Parts: sequence; C-alpha cells; structure tokens
Amino acid sequence: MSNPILEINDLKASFKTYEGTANVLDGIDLTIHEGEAMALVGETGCGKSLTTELILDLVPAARTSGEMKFKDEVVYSPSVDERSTLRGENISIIMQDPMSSLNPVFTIGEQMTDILLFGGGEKSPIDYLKHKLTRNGAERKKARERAREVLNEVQISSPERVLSSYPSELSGGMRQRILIGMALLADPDLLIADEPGTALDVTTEKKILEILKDIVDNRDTSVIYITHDLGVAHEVSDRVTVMYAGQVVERSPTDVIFDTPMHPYTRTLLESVPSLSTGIGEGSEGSIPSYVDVEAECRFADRCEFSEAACRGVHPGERTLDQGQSVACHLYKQDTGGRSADDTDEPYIGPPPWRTEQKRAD
Amino acid sequence: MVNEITHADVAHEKHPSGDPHEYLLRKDPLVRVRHLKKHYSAGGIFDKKKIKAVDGISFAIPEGSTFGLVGESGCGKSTTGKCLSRIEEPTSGEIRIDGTDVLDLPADELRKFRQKVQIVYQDPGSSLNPRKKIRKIIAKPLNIHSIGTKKERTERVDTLLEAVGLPLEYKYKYPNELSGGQKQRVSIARALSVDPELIILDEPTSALDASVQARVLTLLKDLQEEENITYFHITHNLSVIKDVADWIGIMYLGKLVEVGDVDAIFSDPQHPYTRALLSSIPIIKSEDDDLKPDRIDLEGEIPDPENVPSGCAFRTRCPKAFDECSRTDPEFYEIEEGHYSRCLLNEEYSFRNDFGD
Repeated sequence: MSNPILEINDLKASFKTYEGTANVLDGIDLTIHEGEAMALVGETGCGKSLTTELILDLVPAARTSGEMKFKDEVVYSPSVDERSTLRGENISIIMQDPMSSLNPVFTIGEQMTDILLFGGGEKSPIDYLKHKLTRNGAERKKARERAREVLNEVQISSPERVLSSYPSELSGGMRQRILIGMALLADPDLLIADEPGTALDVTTEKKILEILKDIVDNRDTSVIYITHDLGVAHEVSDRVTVMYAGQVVERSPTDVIFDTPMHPYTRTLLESVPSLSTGIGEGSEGSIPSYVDVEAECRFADRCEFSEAACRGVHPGERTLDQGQSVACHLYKQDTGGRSADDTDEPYIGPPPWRTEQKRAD
Repeated sequence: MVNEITHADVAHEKHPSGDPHEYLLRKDPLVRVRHLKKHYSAGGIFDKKKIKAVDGISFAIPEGSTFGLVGESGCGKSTTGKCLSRIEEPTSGEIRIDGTDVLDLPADELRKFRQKVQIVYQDPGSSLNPRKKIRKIIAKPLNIHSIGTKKERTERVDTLLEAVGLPLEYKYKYPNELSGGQKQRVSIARALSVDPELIILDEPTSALDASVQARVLTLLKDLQEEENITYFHITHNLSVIKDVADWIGIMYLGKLVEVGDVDAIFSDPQHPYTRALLSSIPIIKSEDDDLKPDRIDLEGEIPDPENVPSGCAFRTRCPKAFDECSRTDPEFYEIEEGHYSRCLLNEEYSFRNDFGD
C-alpha cells in the first residue's frame, strides 16, 4: 500500500444551537492513500460534506477536536497562512452546485487567472486593485495560458471562447467542467469532489465523471468523492466509506461492498438504489436522528431491525473482517487473526440472519 | 451546407408506418394531446426568432396508468407538463382531458377544471409556503375550490396525512421543520386533496436521496392503485421510470423520438438517443449490465433550441448519423404494436441486429 496522503483521527465537530449542542461528527477516522479514489457515501445530513469542509477549514462556527495529518505533518489548527496554502496548493475542492459556485459578474477567464495570481495567502482589496491597475502583462498572460491548458484538459473544445464568457452563457455541464478545471489549476495532491454531477442530467453526469476519472488517473491525484448515489461510487472509486449520522459505519474496497454489504445500513442503502433488474426497493423507514440529543451509541440503532440493548449502550467500534472490509456493528466478531475472539470485551449479538442464510445456501 | 437542400430534393420512398397517438387512443385514454406546440419568441419586435420548446408532440394517457416523459434538461418536458394544466398557454395543438377541450375553456371554467389536474413540483423546499403550517398548505386547494365545510376540510387534511404516511401532529408544523422526503409527501397530499384525475409529477424525486426516493415512489404507486389516478411523470432518470410507468415517451429538443410500452422500450430500445440514455445509467448490480445496451457516448451537448439542426434534431450528437439524417426528419416507425421510434435506421434494420445476439 502506498503512503497515506491524508490521515484523520477521531475528528469530532459540534455546533451550538438554540436547542443545545449538536454533536454532528462523532469520531471520524479516515485515511486516504496516494493515488487513491475514495467515495464517502451517506444520505443527506450525515456529515459527509462537513468532514471535507473541516479538512479545508471552511467551517469557522464548528467546535472541533481531533488530529489531521497531511503528508505526515500534523496540520490541525495551524496558523491561517499555512492553512490557506494547504487549501490553495495541496488540496482543492470541486463544489457541488455548478449554478451557484461561479461569480456571475466576472468572466471565466478573470476568475481563473485570479486564482493563479492571488491564490494562497491573504490579500487585501488594495493589493487586488493595485494588481488590476498596474498591468502585469506577462504574468497575466502566463496565467491565462495555464487556464487554457486546464480547460483543454477538461475537454472544453473552444477554451478561448469560454474564457471570455460569463457563467450564465454556459450550460450546466460546461460550468461543472470549469469548476473541475479551477480545482486543477494549482496542481493539487488531493482533490475533493462534492457530489460532482448530481445537479446534472444522467448523460452529462456520466461524461463529467469520466473526465474527472481520466484526469485523476493521469495525474495520480488522490480524490475523495462525496456522493449519496451508490451507483456513482461504484463507477469511480477504489474504496467506499459509508457514513451514517456522523459516524463511519463501514469501509470496504469498492468491488467487495456491492456484493457483500456488511452493515445493516449499507444494505438498506444498496436496496434503495433503483435497479433495472429488480426495480426500486422499498426504501428504509425513519430518518437521521437529531444531533442534539443522540442517545444510542450506535446512531443507526433506532432504524436497525437487528438492534438490541448493546447497540444503544456500547459503541460497536470498528471490527476488521476479511476481504479488507471493516464494519462498526455488533453483529460481527472481530477477525483477530489467530487470537481468540473472546479477548475483545465488546458485545457480540450474533451473525446477521442474511449471512447464516447464505451459508446454508452454500 | 446541408441546410440548402430542401425536402423536395430528396427522393422520398420511405413510408413511416406507425402513430403512437393512434395506438394509445385505442386504450381508453383520459388525456389526449395532439400536435401540441409551445413556441417562445426569442428576438425583439422585428426579429421573428422562435424557440420551439415543444414542437408538435402527440400522445395519449390511458386512464389509471402512468405516462413517463423522459429527456435531458431543456428538452421541453416540463413545458409540456405546464401546458397540460394550461399554466403555460400552448401556441397551438389540442389537449383533451376527460373529454374537455382544455384550450377552449374560458377563465372561470378553467379554474374549476384545474381541480382535475394537479401538479407536484421538483423542489419540495421551494414549492411549499414557508410561512404556513402544513394543515393550511394541504387545505389550500380545498379553500380555492370551496369544497366542504370547515370541519370537513379539517377531517380531509387528517385523512390525507394518513394516506401519505405522515403522523397527524405534523399538521401543526412548518415546512422548514420537515425533511425533504416529508415535504414531498406534503406536496403529494396537497395535490390529492381535491381528488384529481390527473397528477403531473415534475421530477418529484430528483432532489431526494435514493432511500427516500424509493419510499416516495412506492407511496405514489400505492395511491394510484387505491384511487385510480392517472400520472404524467416527468423525469430525466430512466432507472426511476422503469418501475413506475406503463408508457414512456422519450423527448429530445421539443419532439418525441420514441414512444411505447415501458417493457418494450427497456428491453428493445430502438432510437439511438434512448440507447444512449439507457447506457448512461450508473449501475451497481452485475445482472443489470446485461439489461442495458453497450455504452454509447454522445458528442457535445444538447443544441441551442434557437438553431435546431436540420432534418433529425439529434443527428449532431448521434453516433449513427449519416447523410440522409440532415435532410429528413423521420416520422414514427412502428417497431411492433405499442412501440414507435423515429429514426431513419428503424426502417432499414432494427438495432436488434446490433446487439450481437
């Protein structure tokens, strides 16, 4: 396995609200390796976008604890300057909504060159004006040249025309490509794609994902795809991490999880994806619990058909299984590699019924 | 330029053989749409430029069934939906719903008529009034059409909440206290309140998560079975429509390109555009792979509706396009009874040969 590029340990985040403190993230651990594409999957409001926004320090209102390492350096809560270089040069984010993430009053060219000329570090408006007024012809030209290069990379056929257009003149698919291009400007080592293509049509979405995948493969960039669509995760990622209500419930290689989902939540998610052969599923009842007063230790306990007293009382912790899967659920015994499983003092409810059924069928 | 060649220059020997409208008319339809057109003017006073959002489409919806209209954004599918309830005034054409000529209705009768046609919009967040409680929102259509006494209306709200699977105490909540799926349930309850015969579903689940989407679609199906409602379901997602629709129309740039029975279209898609749409569905099950056509990549994006390509509008993106496509805009060919496709290739050979089986 190659080196980890980003490691997050026990990340917690809470917000103060009128109802009380909302404990949204409850100890998230994530590791992204070099050149790896990881999909972070979960339903709306489960904290997947928040996790990535915290990586970039885009949520000043959150009270956080935990540790974050980027390329072996601990970066959590560094000074503002360090963080903004990290944000500009090492980690880029592709925002979800191509309609609202571009400034409507500047041309694409201006917005892209500004990133190159002003990216990283804090600049006062005076600096900005000075720069605009004194003609830095050569520098500007170079930046524009780079912008054109990047637009070629995202397969925009007439980059010069696009550079001088305003966002409203372009279609959704085009704008999404430009956002990808902008994220690539600084040659980042880690790319975060927040629901790329969700706002687009199926055919356009497919194209965008392909472009993104090609670029990532060519450059050997690491990516975190955030998505609620398991079909998308299936097409683009190497590894899938499933989140539920601020907890990681399962992580697994992509080719394994779709055949053998382990966590009951992953199963309900998979069943509700519309399929050509079996049609739409039933969907699952209930919704994510309120973050203000989460009582159960396993936050899925209220919606889980296998939940028992242990699920509410003790957090299951992550159990390693074979095939590189790990799951936070009391239904599984830790695969301890030779050591007797009784050594772990976490409660064990028993194998999930669908597994015993499988065994019988075998 | 191909544009200079007119239809007269081309020897016409092809005899399009099918008319989906005729076929659906035999099915005892509730809704009949004939040559529906909606053109917007795009230029100034002297400029007669037109955007043909909907350009002469014909279909019919048998009573109690679901007609799914599928296409990319900007193809005119939502405009078609709005024309059905005359929110948009069609340029020309004929719409008959339950025998009434919709386009002929004077304003006061139109309002009465709208009781029969309700809409559920795409974004549940912005289609509910944030300052009204749920019970007011659901009772609003009843007030407008002055149905029942105050007490009857309150009772009706309770039954509706129960029908869409929401707890009764939700009637005292405001929309912002509800999740996306719950809000969409409220929208559905509101549409149901006046006992409509036709509900236009304009991408009812595309703003929702997969698990919530499945539940909303199941609810819609159950309601249809109980109340025998007819649905006109607009979506861009083919994998959703397969399970809920009985008939499908695939729309491209204001025109229908393939119409037919849902099973026929999914098992044997005949128009290259339908095949491209089907092939781009993301899948997670290996058995689904056999059910979708080989991958087709579409070139570019949907063309500017002000300058629709000559001949077949799809030819600029079609991987199978040949010279004739720029000259002739084909009529429907009957593939089999209940399945119609508008592609020149459908006459010469069927895509079935292309499958390799």
